Amino acid sequence: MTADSLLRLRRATAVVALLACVAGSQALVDQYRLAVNDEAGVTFSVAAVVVRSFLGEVRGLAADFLWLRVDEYQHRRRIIGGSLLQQDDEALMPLVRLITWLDPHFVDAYALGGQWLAFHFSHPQQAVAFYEEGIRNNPNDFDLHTGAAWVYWRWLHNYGRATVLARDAAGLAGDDLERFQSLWLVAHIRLTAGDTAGAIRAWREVGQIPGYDQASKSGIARTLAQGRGKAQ
Amino acid sequence: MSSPIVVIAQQAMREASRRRTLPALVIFGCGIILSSAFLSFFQLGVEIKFFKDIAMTVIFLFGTVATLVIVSTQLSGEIESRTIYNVLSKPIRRWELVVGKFAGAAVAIGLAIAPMVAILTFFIYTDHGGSELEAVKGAYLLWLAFTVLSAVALGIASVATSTVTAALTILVFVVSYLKGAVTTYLDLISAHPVVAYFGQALYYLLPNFENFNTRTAVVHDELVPWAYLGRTTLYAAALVCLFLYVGIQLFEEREF
Amino acid sequence: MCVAVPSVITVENLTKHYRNPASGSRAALRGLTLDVPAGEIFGFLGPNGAGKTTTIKLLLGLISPTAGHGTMLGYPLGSVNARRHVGFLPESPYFYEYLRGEELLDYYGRLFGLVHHVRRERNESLLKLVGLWDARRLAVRKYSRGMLQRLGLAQALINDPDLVILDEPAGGLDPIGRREMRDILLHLRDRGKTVFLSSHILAEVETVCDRVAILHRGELVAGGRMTDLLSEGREMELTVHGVNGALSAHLGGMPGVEIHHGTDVTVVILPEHALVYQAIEIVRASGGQVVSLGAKRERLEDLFVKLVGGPNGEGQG
Repeated sequence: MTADSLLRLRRATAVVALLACVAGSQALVDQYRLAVNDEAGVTFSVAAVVVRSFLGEVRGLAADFLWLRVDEYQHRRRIIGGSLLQQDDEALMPLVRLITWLDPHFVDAYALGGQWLAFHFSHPQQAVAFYEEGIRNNPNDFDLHTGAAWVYWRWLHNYGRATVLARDAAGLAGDDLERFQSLWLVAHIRLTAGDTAGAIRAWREVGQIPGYDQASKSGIARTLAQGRGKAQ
Repeated sequence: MSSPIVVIAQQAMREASRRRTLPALVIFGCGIILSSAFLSFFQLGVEIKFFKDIAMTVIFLFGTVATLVIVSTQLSGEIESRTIYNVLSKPIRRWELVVGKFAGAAVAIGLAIAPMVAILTFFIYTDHGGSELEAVKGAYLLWLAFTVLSAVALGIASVATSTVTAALTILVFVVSYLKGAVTTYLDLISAHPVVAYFGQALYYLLPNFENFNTRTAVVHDELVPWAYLGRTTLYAAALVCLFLYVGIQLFEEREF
Repeated sequence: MCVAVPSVITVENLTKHYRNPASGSRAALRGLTLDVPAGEIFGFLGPNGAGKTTTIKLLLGLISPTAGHGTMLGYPLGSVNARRHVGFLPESPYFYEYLRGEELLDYYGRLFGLVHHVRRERNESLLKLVGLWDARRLAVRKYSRGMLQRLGLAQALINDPDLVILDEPAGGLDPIGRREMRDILLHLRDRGKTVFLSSHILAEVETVCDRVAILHRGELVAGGRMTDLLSEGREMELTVHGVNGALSAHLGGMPGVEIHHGTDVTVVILPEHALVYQAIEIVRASGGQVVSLGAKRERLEDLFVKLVGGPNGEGQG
């Protein structure tokens, strides 16, 4: 083997070894990707992948600027009121969808989108699908759990799923008010489902929150009264 | 007596600091971050998220431009301006020149983004908008990305002009973000094992700059484990070694 | 390990072909064999494209030879250890424009591994030597062509090299600058340094060089000591003042005599020594004055043109 051939062989070996190091270290990084990267554990549609790829690192900021637009639509609608600006409502949803593609942790967008699909467009199935996607991407968000629970309860009458979500929200509550809100939801869902005992249990848990004893007693009393009323 | 690598690195830093472009970028970047800190868009709580997003994006964008400005002219500029003759006639090895240029560029880029990171952490601290440490971690990972980009640029610069170096480096950078779309597309069009292996090869062998993207953690106050930092540092080191090695081998063969 | 050698540069059969996509291969250097003794000023001459710069680049390792080998200060060509003791001034040197003169010297000094106080002392002495002390704090981009050349010489000497390689060192220098450059080169030789000088200015080379090599189309066409190359012939050169028409005619009547009229003096070339006294007698009788008399020596330029030839380089070489 000539000196040149040996040199080429040595160089090729070194490059292969370095490529192996690159691949190996990427595999090591992947073990922690779920904990860190916003795309780990999130399933995107092909269109979402393409959009995200093209925007690269600026997709988060792009989401923020789109939210500016959404916020503008939202506040203008509140000022004018009603559904006079139906066009704004319809224009808003694609923006919200795009925002969640760009930043799957943009919980405000999921919350707003789920709310509007349910309340303004009367599409509860789409609303809960949107909420569920948001919960998958942000499993520790209180608002998404309670928002989804509302839709399941009031529109879809899926009391089982609504209860699970409201209970999960209670576990994620950041303060006493949020805990009260989620348990209040559990109580009303159980009552609607005809589960008076379950409702009362929830009200009793409310009583364990400091300062909510009176609310707990009132809730139990109303539940019992409504339960008796139904029996009659 | 300093090693030639240290001498060349210090010279590269001096060159970067005396270019008008770099200080202008730093001042402009700091200006944007500072001004966004005083713009009120939303109700309280969302402002800080928006500010952190802007700050991280500015650090990313300006850091990338600074990297391209600094590195694309380090080696190829030296060759084009013929100052290379004076350097290579001194008792330094060619690989020392390349490594020294890289080291100098890496430090210069770190110093360039440091003021922007300082502003970001200051406002996080004063607005109680999350963890300053996570912001610093995020900035460190961005710096790692810039060092990888520097190594890519130097590898290309060992055989190309400064314009071609800048263009090809940007291309590699863009392709690394697009490969997510490419691998998704490959999964869609074929379930053939060869296609799958090709997709896997793309994923593992091309630089994956997404590894250095922890914007979500910084913006949403999530924790970045120290182990992740360690592993990503290893990944960056592997990529830097790969591109510098290839660049050095090409540079050794080059004639002036 | 550096071994004491009588020659600082030894090359054997050094060849360099450049690949040309259009025409295949171009031979820039063909089988150059050369010895440069230590402690001399060695002139390396040739027309444009002869291969001088190619040779220098091969010595310094900027390019690799296609064939052949050599040593520089006992080390293989292009080795780092050799470059430790070599100073190089490239043709039309380019420097970092954003640096000041003293910063540039300091940078190159650090590349040689010189410690701070040594660099400081050498910077000062070299900048004063080349006349740039007052401009040391000026950015290099503000230097004139001549100042850059001087700075180039200073950086070539920063490591107190045993061998100094200079490619067209007088380029951009005014006559005073050239004289100063010449003095520096002679001083280097007196200190035992070796100077490898590539230049087009034959008069300068003839003045300072102990030995020359002439390159033509990549080949060595002549080489050796100046005294050996520029042989004295049998002709005599008589310089006369006050030559009038009659005297000129009288001198011209002598067999084989050439007369060259200048502004103040006339040079009379006599074909052999025997005619000298006759010519002197004629001059005295006509009232002229003998200014000087000596053997007519071949000039380097004459040899160069003879070997390399006219505009198309079609010399004897």
